[in-house]
Amino acid sequence: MDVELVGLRFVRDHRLVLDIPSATFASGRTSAVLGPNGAGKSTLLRLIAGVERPTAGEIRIGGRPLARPRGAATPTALSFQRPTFVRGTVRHNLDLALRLRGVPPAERRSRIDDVAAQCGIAPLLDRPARRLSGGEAQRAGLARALVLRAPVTLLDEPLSGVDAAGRERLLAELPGLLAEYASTTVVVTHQRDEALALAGSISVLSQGRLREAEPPAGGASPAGLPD
Amino acid sequence: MNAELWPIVGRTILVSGVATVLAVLAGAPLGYLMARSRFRGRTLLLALVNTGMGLPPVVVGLAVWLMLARSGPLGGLDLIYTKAAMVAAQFVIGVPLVVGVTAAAVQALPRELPDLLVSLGAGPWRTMLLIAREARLGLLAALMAGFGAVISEVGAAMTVGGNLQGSTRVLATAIVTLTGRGEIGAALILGGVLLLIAFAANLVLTIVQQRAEP
Repeated sequence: MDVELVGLRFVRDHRLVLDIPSATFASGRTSAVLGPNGAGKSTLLRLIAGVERPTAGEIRIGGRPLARPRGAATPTALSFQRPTFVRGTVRHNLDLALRLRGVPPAERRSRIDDVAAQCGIAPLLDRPARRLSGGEAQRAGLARALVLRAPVTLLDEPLSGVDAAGRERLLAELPGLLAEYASTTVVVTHQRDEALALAGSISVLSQGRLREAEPPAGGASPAGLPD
Repeated sequence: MNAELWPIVGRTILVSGVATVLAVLAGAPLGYLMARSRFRGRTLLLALVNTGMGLPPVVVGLAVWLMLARSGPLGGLDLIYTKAAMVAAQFVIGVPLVVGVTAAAVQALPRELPDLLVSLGAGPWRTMLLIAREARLGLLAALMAGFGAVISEVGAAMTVGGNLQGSTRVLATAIVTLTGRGEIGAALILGGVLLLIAFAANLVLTIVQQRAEP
């Protein structure tokens, strides 16, 4: 499903955080939004996820205006920059996510076991989610988003809080995981190597404005990307 | 005194129990909204609620009395000097406590938790119930604080209930009466019973609270 932004504006505390006249994240592809901290990247994902409402403009997913997220009809899955969990085990957290999407119990169990194996969190399933280390929590948060197999997957700095070795591993695994569990994907990051490794198209968000960068070709750095 | 003890104990538990339950039913959602919403004057409102957590019961009693007295705006309801009037006054004492403790408990949760639940597809009610489950230790604390405050207060119960024997006399007001009459031994016994009820209620709630620990 395409994600279209039309005349999107978001104002917080009298400050214009986002101002995107028109943009499209193409269906079935991974798009990266690259930008410095404070550029409005997380806000953009929160708007697409329906957690925040735009001040003006519209977000369309698969051609339909985005409504407030509600149960099985929710078209998005958001992996937070700092993963948050409810009390209980990792399994309980993944199960809650699927339950809120109306997935029946037997299917929930098999989907959790499957995604846990793929994301490397099978040994963590019975641990309290709030006591995970930074890297473990990031993987568990990612698994919770992926297990939903949503039409649109949104990843907010998916490698933050992960140590250097873990980051390399996860960065290598992520394209395979996205190919398996995600369809249209928007990943926001401030690291250009992440954007290059994960996405087929990259746009740059700076001071609330989004502009397209040249698509990466032959491993060369695309034009217009900030260092 | 002995023959009167059990009715007084029953009345005390009934009046304060109903007032507490009503205060939680009204105060917990309000506390949740206070913690979750952003609006102009929110800090002022929170300060007012926090002030309300220490409202002098006798002042609340006076305000409720003015409302319910024969000449008051709700005088037609004919509630003054009834158990219902006492419930109303104790409800007013309990609500700010429940709102304040609930708001603090909800605010102590991870900041992104409500957003997470919304992003997962939980509607407003489901989000509130899931947040309540997360904040259950704080909600039980609100219940304990509310019950403890209303069962031990004497000013409001006396003012709007009238301390009528066989009708609106509760443990706290009975203690005042007995002390005034010089029946210190009986007053001490009732004081012990009052403490015992407060302790028993808090013991049950604390056991539930500690079991709720992850």
